[in-house]
Amino acid sequence: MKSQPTPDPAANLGASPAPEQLDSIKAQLDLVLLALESLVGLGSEAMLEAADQLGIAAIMGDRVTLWRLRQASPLRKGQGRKKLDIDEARGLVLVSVHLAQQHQNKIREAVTRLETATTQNQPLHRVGILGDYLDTFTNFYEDRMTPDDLPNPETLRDLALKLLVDLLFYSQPGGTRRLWLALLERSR
Amino acid sequence: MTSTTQLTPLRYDSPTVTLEVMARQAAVSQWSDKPVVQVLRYQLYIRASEETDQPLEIRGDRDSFLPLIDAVQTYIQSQLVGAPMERGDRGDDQPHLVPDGFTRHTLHLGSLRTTTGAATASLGALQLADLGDVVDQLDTQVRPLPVSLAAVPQRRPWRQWSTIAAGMVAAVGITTALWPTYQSQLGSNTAVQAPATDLEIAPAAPQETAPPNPAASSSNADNADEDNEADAIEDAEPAAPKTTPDAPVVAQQPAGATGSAPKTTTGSPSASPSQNQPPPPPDSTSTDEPPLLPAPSISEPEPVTSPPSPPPAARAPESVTAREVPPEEPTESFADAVPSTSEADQFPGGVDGLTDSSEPEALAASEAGSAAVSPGPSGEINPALSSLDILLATVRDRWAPPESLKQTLTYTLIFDAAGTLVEVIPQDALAEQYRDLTGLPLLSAPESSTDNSTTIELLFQPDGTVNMVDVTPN
Repeated sequence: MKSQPTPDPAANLGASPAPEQLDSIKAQLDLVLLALESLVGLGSEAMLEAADQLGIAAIMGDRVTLWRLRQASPLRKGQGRKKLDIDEARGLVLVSVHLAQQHQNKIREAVTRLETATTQNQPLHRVGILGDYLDTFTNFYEDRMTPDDLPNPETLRDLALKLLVDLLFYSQPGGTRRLWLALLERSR
Repeated sequence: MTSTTQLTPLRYDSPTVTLEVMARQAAVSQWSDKPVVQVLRYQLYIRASEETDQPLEIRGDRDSFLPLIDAVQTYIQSQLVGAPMERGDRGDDQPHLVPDGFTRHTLHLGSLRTTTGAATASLGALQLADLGDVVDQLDTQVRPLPVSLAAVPQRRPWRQWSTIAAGMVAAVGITTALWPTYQSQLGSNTAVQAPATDLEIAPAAPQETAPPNPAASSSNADNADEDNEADAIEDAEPAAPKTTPDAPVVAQQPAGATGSAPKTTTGSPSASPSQNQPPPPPDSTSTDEPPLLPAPSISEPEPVTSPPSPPPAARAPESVTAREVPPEEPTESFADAVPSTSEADQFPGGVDGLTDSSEPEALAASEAGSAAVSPGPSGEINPALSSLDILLATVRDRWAPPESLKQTLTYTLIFDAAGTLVEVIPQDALAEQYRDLTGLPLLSAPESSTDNSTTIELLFQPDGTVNMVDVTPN
């Protein structure tokens, strides 16, 4: 069932980035979605459904549009990169946080395991949920990102784990504001 | 200035963190999109998220609340951005967090302590996220005030007007009486002699007290002018003759001028704020007590106490006590009973306001309790009782029962031999809950032995009256 579209739900996030900040924002948003995909196995259908529920189907209404939005990341392979505008960036923030909140239990579980394994000096790849997540994230990253500046495995693992912990904060009620502010701050 | 009225308990839960806040809603809320509250105290419970974690409990008051939540919010955001936090102007006594490994964070509590006395707490990522969540919930629901609000005491209109009228009558009388004396003394420095007519107002002015230092008196007036931050109600307060607490000239005399002069002017009513020595900071782990009374404003009856430049000597009767209140010790005792400058600020006018306005309040108190401050058979006056007189007048003035209150609230108050309030014991849970509304001050460490303590019960009635019962043993 389609939700009633709101006038511009993505416009409620407050401050807007300068155009030159958008490159960094595009890359970071794509990584957040990549982490979500890796942890809970969701695909483009779930993202489109979330966009529909959030009333921003006009921004990302089909697979092609969504693919072009994610291709906007400067880290991605390929040419013909779409320029991401502010409303589209805000739309991706809303979708990312919406999905993180939907899967908050799994995120908490993964972070709990991460804390335990770290405290006990346990190899992370031996912890089921973490091993799967790290493997999937690494595979996605290597498949989709440009090989020119591919990080080494340790750096990539650390990036995946940081994104996992970040998802915990984004999965909370104030997650939208936190993600948007973090994107703005990071892009400065 | 705005008034604060209703106590509001707030509670926010997340899986590993619970935040409980006792706040007072501010009247400025009507101009805000969400309730504006002044946090009085809070309790933060952090439960273990792992077997190795220990549950934590942190208690504090308004002063530590905003720095703590600000530290949490700032740190979380810095972690999400991936940038190290800048130290900035933060002092070591301010709460802050530092990362400790990949998933752990150390919360440095600054001047705060956990209930077990620890100055730091190790938080996991889940606990930190949940802590941020409860802070977000609070931010979403209410807007904590960053500054202390001065609450206007809720006075009954008839009482305000009667107080004003009484003050005006007294002022006219004093001015009329003093003016001829002032005229006759112009240009001559004669000995100080209290006009006989003043005895109508201040019949029991102890003459053994040295005459006030003219310079001190004039500086008092100056200080009073500087301190004049009174709100509308307090401005309308009568300008009755100053009472004992407003006679700091004794304390300002050179040492030895009076053998029993107060040992310090700290908390002396008319001492300027800078003269008030800051009290030791309250123990944050024992901040169950409310941060004092909700009504700071300084009442300065300038128009009345300042007839056209009377010679300082002519003020002698004014600056010494009216009635039977002992001139020195009770003043000190009650001032000391106010535990801290910052807390005292929440009195109407802080300690100043409390004492400056004590004349009309003492009048009110004398309606019921003047016998209590009369000298005993031995001629001695129990300082606790004279302090009590002032305290009683103050709480009677402030007691504005909420409509929801149907029962009498009973508190047992214990004064030490010097008249310092050393203990307030709510009789039941309801009394404990309404402790902040009663206007009872916080406690001081006993100055003297509590062997000769005075114990009373104060009964706060739902109809707005306050009754006192002396239950001192023997």
